[in-house]
Amino acid sequence: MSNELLNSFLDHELLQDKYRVQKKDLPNNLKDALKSENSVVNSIAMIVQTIQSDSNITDKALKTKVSQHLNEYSL
Amino acid sequence: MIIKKVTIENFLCYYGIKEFEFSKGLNIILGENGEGKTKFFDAIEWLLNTSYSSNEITLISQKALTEVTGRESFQVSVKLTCEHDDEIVYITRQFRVSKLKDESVETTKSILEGVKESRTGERDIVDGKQWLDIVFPPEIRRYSMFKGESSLNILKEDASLSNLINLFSDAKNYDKYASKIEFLRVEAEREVSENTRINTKKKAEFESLEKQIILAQQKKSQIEEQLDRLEQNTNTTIELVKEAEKFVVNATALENINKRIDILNERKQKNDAKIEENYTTSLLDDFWILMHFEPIHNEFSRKIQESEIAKRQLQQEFDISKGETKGRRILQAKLMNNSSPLPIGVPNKAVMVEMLKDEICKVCNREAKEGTEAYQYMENNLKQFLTSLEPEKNIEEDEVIFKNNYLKSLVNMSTNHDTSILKFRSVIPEIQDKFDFNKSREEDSVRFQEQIDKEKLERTKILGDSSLGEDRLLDVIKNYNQWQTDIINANRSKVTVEYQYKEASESLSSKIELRDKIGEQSANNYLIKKRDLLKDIEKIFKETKERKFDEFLKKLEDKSNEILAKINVDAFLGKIIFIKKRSTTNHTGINVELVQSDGTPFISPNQSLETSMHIAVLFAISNLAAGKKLEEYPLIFDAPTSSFGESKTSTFLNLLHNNTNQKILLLKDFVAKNDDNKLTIKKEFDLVKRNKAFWVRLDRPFDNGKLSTINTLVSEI
Amino acid sequence: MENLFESFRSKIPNFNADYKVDVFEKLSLYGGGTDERRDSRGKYFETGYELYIYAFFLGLYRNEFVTIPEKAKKENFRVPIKDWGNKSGKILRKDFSQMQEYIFSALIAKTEIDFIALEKGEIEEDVVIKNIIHQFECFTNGGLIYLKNKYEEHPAYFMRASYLLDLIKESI
Repeated sequence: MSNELLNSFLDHELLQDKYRVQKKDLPNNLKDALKSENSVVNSIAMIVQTIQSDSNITDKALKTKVSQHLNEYSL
Repeated sequence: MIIKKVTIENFLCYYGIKEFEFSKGLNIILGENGEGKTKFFDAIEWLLNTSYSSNEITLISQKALTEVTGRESFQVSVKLTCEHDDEIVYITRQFRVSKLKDESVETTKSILEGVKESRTGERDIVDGKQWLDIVFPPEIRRYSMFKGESSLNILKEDASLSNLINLFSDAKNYDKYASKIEFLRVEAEREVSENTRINTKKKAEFESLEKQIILAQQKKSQIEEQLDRLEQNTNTTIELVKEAEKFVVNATALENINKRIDILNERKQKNDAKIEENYTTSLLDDFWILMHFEPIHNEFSRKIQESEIAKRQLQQEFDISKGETKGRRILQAKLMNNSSPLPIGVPNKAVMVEMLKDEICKVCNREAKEGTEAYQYMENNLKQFLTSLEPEKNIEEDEVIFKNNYLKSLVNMSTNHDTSILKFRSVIPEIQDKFDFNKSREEDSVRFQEQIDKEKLERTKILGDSSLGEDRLLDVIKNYNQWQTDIINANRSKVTVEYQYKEASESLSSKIELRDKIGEQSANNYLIKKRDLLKDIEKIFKETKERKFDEFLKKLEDKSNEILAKINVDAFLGKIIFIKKRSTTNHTGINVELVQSDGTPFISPNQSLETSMHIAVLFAISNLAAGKKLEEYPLIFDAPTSSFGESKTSTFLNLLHNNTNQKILLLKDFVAKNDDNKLTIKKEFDLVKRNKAFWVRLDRPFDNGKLSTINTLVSEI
Repeated sequence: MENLFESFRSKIPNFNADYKVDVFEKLSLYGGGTDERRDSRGKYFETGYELYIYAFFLGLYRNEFVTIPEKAKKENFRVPIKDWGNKSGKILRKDFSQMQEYIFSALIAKTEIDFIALEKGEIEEDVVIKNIIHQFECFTNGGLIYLKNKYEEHPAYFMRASYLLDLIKESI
């Protein structure tokens, strides 16, 4: 399910149009996506992983996690 | 899940124990009205509807109550035997009935019991309610049991669709992402704005924009609500119209008349648009107000002319008097003997100078020695000539009579206006033309209205020729025209409101953009990057959700059409389309409609076609459930095809037979009375393909007034 | 070259403030129109000065020349005549400068002006212009009074699309 969700998100044209990620370079599983250097890709992967592993996660907890992630890796 | 068996015991008209053993595929239960079909359906509903606390006393077979003597007690129950995951599960809802001494009746509360039988034949008692929900989930039951034709239109309610999507589509998973990311984005925006507030010098501007944004958001959502209400009202009215039209016998004629009315309305509108009655504007813009201006212009023109003439005369007189003074001076310089002088400059300057030098007057060929009168004469002449070459000085400054020249521009204006006289004169005919034009448009308008009224009268006649009861009919006729007008008006206002919505959205986003721009100049770079990233992810999540939803709809549509093509009893060539209703709010509604092969909407499909459509959609849904590797579930219909008629029904049944899902259909067709006035199953039923068939009928003789004589018999055909 | 028209155009004429409510707000969108009045476009004037011009012609044709009482409070549009109609920003409406010329020429026709004295410089331009504007105000005032009485008699007549046109037609 996680991979399916991830792939459908990564299918969005914004990734190619704005973030210049080639279709062939897109990861097709969560593990690879988390390692991606592209901030959108790894952020989406991180959100998918977080929500899928704890579907009851509160908005606040998710916010903390995302901020942490962006702080450490992406931005 | 497959229903293997339904066992009914002492429930309403079912006295004793009655069993229906079903198979996969098509199961048909035949029966006359009032002989037990619907009670069968009710029994299953009672079993399934555990949340609903029934009044047990009303469910007891009266015959059982009569047959029981003394203080005996007996059981009322409905038992479902189903196959689920290769196991057999028995679910029973039952209660006990006891007769007391005084013949009064006492019942226990009904309870739900469950027994699970494994493949090896081991039986375990299980929680009935829990297992009922496992074998037959409540949200599935909603799309499994249908009583009557009208219940088939499950997509009529907006909520059904979201349920369906939750059940069968992936969109549900995406909902969570959409809402979570929205929270993250809003938070990120808040962080940016808080950060900005501290740093920026443009604090005031920023805060004012924040306020404006809140207002703009409020305005936008108000318009959104307005639009939703409008949409809802229109849909309700359209439903009413459709409902009314169903009763109309001659649907095609009605359709034609409606088309004609539409065309006439359009022509009338075009015609009416040509009527321009802004006479007041024309008064100024087209100078109509100058209709009586000619005499005033003449007065003006005369006045200016007269003043101009008077001025010129004065000037002339002045010039003459000025000329006299001049003349006097000239006179003083006159020649002796009054002879007229030679023109100044004859002979010319060079000659004169030469003559003076030579001291000879070469004009009269005489000597003119310096100092002589003749010499002096020549010298004077030369002086005079030289003076004449100098610009003539005003004799005296105050000798000008008119200091100003106001009249000149007035004369010009007057001359210009002379050419407008034709314009003044043409106003009245122009107004007349306009009046005539408008008048004939108005006459056209009246004519169009008469035609429209005539058509409407015709439509009323057709509506009158309908299968509806008189009271309802009067109501329908009274309202029908109004509904049509309401729809047209609603659509018109929808266009306006949609425009307002677009404007409000644009205004909002431009304000947000402006605010963000200010924010960006001062907020921390990381926060901005974070916000922008989350904005993009939000877009991705939300649009993906939308896409998944659309994909699901498309699948549903394709599948429905595939099934419609199979079960289509009226050889209808069009197709079913799913129209997504505007989704400004969170729940998205859809309209399911039939379109003809040329793509135009099918205005009033007959009931049987509509039923085919609904069934196709239902099968498509249950099919999609199978595609999701979910269990298949049975579909139970009570009288789904009452509008079909027998022959259509048998075609329909044969088509259903091709579909492997388990179906239980309760029908009143194919039962007839023979010559002895006894009920019998018609031969035609032999031709109907099915997997199992039952006949429910009352044990005869019975007394309709005495419930204690009522007992439904079940026999397999 | 001296130009009376240009001087006239730069002036701001007055009207009796009493008619602001009694006439202007009833027959034009001047003073903030309600939606109801806005809907009646075409029947009413969009601006106050359009009604002013209308009232002037009505007074002129009917020869209703009424001086605004000394004591009366006066009001104006705070816009010189030359800007009347030009700055409405409405593409559909026409420029009013020609209309201004006609008004001016009518005032010249109706005002006693000793052009000879003016040309000789014996009287000041200002005096003449003041006189012309006075004429303008008096004819308009006459027209406004006429309109006010008509309105009070039969307000419903004014709902007719052609009523204001009819008043002009009948004015001679």
